[in-house]
Amino acid sequence: MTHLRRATSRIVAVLGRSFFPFAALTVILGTLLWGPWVSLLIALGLWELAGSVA
Amino acid sequence: MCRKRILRNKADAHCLIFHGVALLAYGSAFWIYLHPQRAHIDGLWSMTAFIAASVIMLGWVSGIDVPVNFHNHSHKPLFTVPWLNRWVGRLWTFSGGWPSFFFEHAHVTVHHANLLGRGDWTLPYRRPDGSFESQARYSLTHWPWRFGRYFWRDFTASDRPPGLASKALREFLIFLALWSIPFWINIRMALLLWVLPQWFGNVLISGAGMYLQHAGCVPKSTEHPYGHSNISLSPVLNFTMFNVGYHAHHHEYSRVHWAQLPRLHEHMKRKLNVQRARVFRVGYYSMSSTLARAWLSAEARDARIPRHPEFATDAAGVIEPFELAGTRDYLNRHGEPREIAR
Repeated sequence: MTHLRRATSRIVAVLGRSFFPFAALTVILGTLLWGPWVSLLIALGLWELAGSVA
Repeated sequence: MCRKRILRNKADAHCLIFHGVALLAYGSAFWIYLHPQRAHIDGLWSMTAFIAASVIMLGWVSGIDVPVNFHNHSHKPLFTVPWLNRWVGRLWTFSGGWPSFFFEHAHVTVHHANLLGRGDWTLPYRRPDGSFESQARYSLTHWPWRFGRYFWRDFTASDRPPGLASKALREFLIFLALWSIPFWINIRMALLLWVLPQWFGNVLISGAGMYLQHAGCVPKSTEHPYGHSNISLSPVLNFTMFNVGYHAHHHEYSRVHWAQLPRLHEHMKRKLNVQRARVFRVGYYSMSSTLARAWLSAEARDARIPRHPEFATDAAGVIEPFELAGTRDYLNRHGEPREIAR
């Protein structure tokens, strides 16, 4: 359980500290799955979200 | 046998992951641009949508990767090996549109050494009443135009330190060699997915951040020892941006590692409270998005950028607003800062 918790907290730390580049990679590579218009929508949504929570 | 560690601080692995994923994101965007049919891009409009999404995301990342992430390296180099520090720096900042040595000069030699003083050309110009020029004007003019002029002035000055000009030229040429790589692949791709995101990042992310970290602030003095920076305690901002919100702490103790800043804050809390430091609950993104709404009145703006309740009141118990305009009491009759304590 301790190992699991430690591993989870490390993964959260890595994803959280590099949230913006991982989000960029997801939006860009996600275009292969859902196309460019959805990617644009997600990018604008994240921009608006950042303006209210950070 | 005792093996020497290469990475000084384990937490700095996050800095390297951040930059590595940022480069991967650029590479992915380039690949999709060159293979549009794989991503359902079949015309001018769908390509425009892809480029717009990529510019926002890549620009956003670049606007953090150099002025926040590499910035940590410029204060406390990540590695114990000097040549590794130098080369990692060069391979770090080129994707943000900066030669690493130029960023270090602007940030450490100019900004930290002359914070809010006459020599600090990295910050917005001041009006005669002490207030900053507008955020839009600063953001649109500072990179690369205004900074470029000051770099030229500093690196060609007759009283410059020996070797400075040749070092600047060497670093600029290395930067150019790295920065030009996307142009060798496809010029239009380089303009749209390399130069444009870097412009976006420097103007809208880095420019806004630099502006808000010191907007409404006053040079350090005995009366205002921590009034030189706006502190943000937004947990989201600090978690995702290497604790950049602890900004007065960083200027006071620039050798403290970014991962230690929250702990430093616990030690400084009382002093910050007593000295009425400029502490805010919201992050720089919220501040920037509020200031971008030029139609808001000063009252509405202050309501959207509230001071942190634990640090908000003056000696009379009055809640202090955000205050874009600086007061004149810290300027002497020549318009220069007085009582600067270093």
